[in-house]
Amino acid sequence: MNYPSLFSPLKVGPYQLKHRLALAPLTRMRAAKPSLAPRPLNAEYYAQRATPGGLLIAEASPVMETGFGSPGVPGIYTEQQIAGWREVVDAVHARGGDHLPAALACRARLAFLVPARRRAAGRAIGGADRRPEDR
Amino acid sequence: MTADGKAVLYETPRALETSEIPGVIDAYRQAAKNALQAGFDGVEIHGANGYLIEQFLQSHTNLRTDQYGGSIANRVRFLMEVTKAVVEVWGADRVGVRLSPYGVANGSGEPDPMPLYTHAVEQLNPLGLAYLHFIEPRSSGAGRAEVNHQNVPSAMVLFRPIWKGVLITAGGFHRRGRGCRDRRWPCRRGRVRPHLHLQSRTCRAACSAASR
Repeated sequence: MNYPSLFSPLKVGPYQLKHRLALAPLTRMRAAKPSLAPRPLNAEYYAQRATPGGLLIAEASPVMETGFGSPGVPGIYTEQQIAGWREVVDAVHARGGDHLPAALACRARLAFLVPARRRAAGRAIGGADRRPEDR
Repeated sequence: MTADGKAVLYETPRALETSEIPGVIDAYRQAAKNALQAGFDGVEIHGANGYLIEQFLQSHTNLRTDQYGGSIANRVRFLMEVTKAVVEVWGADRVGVRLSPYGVANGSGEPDPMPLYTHAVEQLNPLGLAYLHFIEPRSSGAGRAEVNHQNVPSAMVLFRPIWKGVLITAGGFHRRGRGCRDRRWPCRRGRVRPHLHLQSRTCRAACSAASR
C-alpha cells in the first residue's frame, strides 16, 4: 500500500474506522418538496458512497424552518424529515459498518427562501445585522 | 429564491435579539435529539461557510454589542453553547465540529483568523469531542473563485499542534497528475502532499493521525 497512514484504521469516538477517507458534508438539494424530507434518491446517494468502516458525514441540515439557505436542502426538524433520514441511515448501514453522523446547520441570514406563508416569524434572522455590501 | 424556486428580492436580515438566542440553541438541541431518533451514529455541528455559528464567530458578520459580540471570547460563546447543548444529547465522543477559519463563503470573513480560532480550539479541547473538521484555507465552501488565502498553510499545519483529538481537513485534494475537468476548480500540481492523493478532489476529507 502506497499510503500507509491513509489506509490504516482510526478510532473516532467509539467507532473504529478501517480507513481515513471521509465524505465531507455536501449540499445536494435533493430533498422532497415541500416537506424537505430525504427521499429514496437521498438514500441511494449515500449508500453509493458507503464503504465498510468508512465515515460519511451527512449534508448540512437546517435545525429550524428559518435556517435554510438553498432550495431542496433536507431539514431535520419535522417527523417526516426524521423518517426520511432514517431511510438514509438504514441504507448506509446496510452497506456494512459505515458510520454516518448528521451535520446540523442553521443558515439563518442566508434564509431567503422561507415561504411567504411561514413568514409569521418575521424577517430572516442572523447573528448580527449584515453589512450593506453583503448579498 | 422561494422554496418553490421563484426568484424574489433578498430581504435584509435582522440581528437576533439576545433573548432569542437560547431558543436557537434549543433548536440545535432538538435537532440533535432528532438525529438520535433517525439512527445516526453521531452529529457534526456545522460552524463553517457563513452559517449561523460562523456569523457569530467572524467579525465581518458579527457586529453585536452584547455578550455574543466584540471580543474573541464573546464571539466564540455561541459556538460553545451550541456544542455543549448537542453534547448533552449525544455525549462528546459522538459529536464533531466543522469550522472554516479562512472561509469567505456567504459574506463571512475574519481579517486575522488564528487568534480567534486558536481560542475556539482551546475551548473545544477539554470537551473530548469525536473530531474537529476544518475546511482548508486554500479551499472554500463558495468555490475557489472567492478564495484569497492560497499562501496560508494547510489547516493540518495550523491546527494539528493545538487540537488534541482527531483532525479532519477538507478541500483542494485531487488526484495526482490529473487535471480537474471543472474549470471553476483549477488543478494545481504540487499542492497536495504526497500521501494525500485522493480519489476525488473535494468530495473526501482526509483524517490526519489521531494524537490522543
